[in-house]
Amino acid sequence: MSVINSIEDLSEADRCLRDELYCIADAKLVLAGWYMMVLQNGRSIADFTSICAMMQGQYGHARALYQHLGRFGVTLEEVEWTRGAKDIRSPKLLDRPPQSWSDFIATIFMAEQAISTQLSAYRTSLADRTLARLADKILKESRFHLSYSVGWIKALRKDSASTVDEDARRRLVDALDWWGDADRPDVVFSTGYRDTSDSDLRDRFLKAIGATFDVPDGIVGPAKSWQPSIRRNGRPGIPENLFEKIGFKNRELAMP
Amino acid sequence: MMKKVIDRQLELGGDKPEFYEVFARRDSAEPLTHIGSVEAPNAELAEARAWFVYDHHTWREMCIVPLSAIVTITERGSKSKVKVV
Repeated sequence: MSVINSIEDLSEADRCLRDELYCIADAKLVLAGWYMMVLQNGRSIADFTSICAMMQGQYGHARALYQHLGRFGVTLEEVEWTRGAKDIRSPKLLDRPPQSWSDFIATIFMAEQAISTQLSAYRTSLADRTLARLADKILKESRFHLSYSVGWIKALRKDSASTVDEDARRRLVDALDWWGDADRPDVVFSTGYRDTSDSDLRDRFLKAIGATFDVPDGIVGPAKSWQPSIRRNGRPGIPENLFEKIGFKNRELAMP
Repeated sequence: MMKKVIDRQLELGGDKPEFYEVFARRDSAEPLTHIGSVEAPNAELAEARAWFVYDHHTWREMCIVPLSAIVTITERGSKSKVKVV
């Protein structure tokens, strides 16, 4: 497999794949940051350990995907140290910090489900076997992240005053911002890197969410300003205050 | 500054936590062995907590059993828990 040194050398399919993997890896980076910030809210030692393990898992997955991006000329130097808030391509869903414990649980459930849904379409990729194996390993590890959030949703629901369903409904709108217009060309799918189209993955995500939450009818489709390279509407990047929290610090002290 | 009021039930859910006993083996030649327990309000959360807490080996097989499902024979009538081997 040849190593690309410049983005100009990439084919359109490789450029689209690179963008999508960047989005998935950045989603995992920011989600790891969420776990890091919420860690001290763990409800027991076992809960604390679980959040810690999920944080570590997400950082590991993000770095493995960043490393895979080396195939497209991306360096760890670039992904970890030279990017600013406007360069991070995580989903809009993770822009707004958790408003409560139940909002945190609803959001991580949506985020874990969205990322796993997207990665599931790479498991059979014949065009990139390394990516297929990586996706499979990440999915196996992420299964327990989903069990954690589903377990919490069930527990919270046992209290009639719980807001977890409302929180999920609110977050679902932002979660769906990760998938664009069904009519736009889906190069990653048509070239065989992914085995499922983006619009089918959106449906698969909604079906998976529907097993836990009521999905309301008449969900609004993506806005026209949706950009595939960042998988979101509007301006690129994440809020500065979020970047300040999740960005790697003190480059001078980083071990080689 | 106003003191934050914590609603325990709202934060923890309405379920009462239960103990789940955790059993695992590293390979198919090993017997399934009791390795510890976790407390959780339901099986999904117990599954996740067991997996993350007892991650000192790459288990080939792991399962959990609610303590309430265990019928004690020698310890009938006492409140003894399943003990780690």
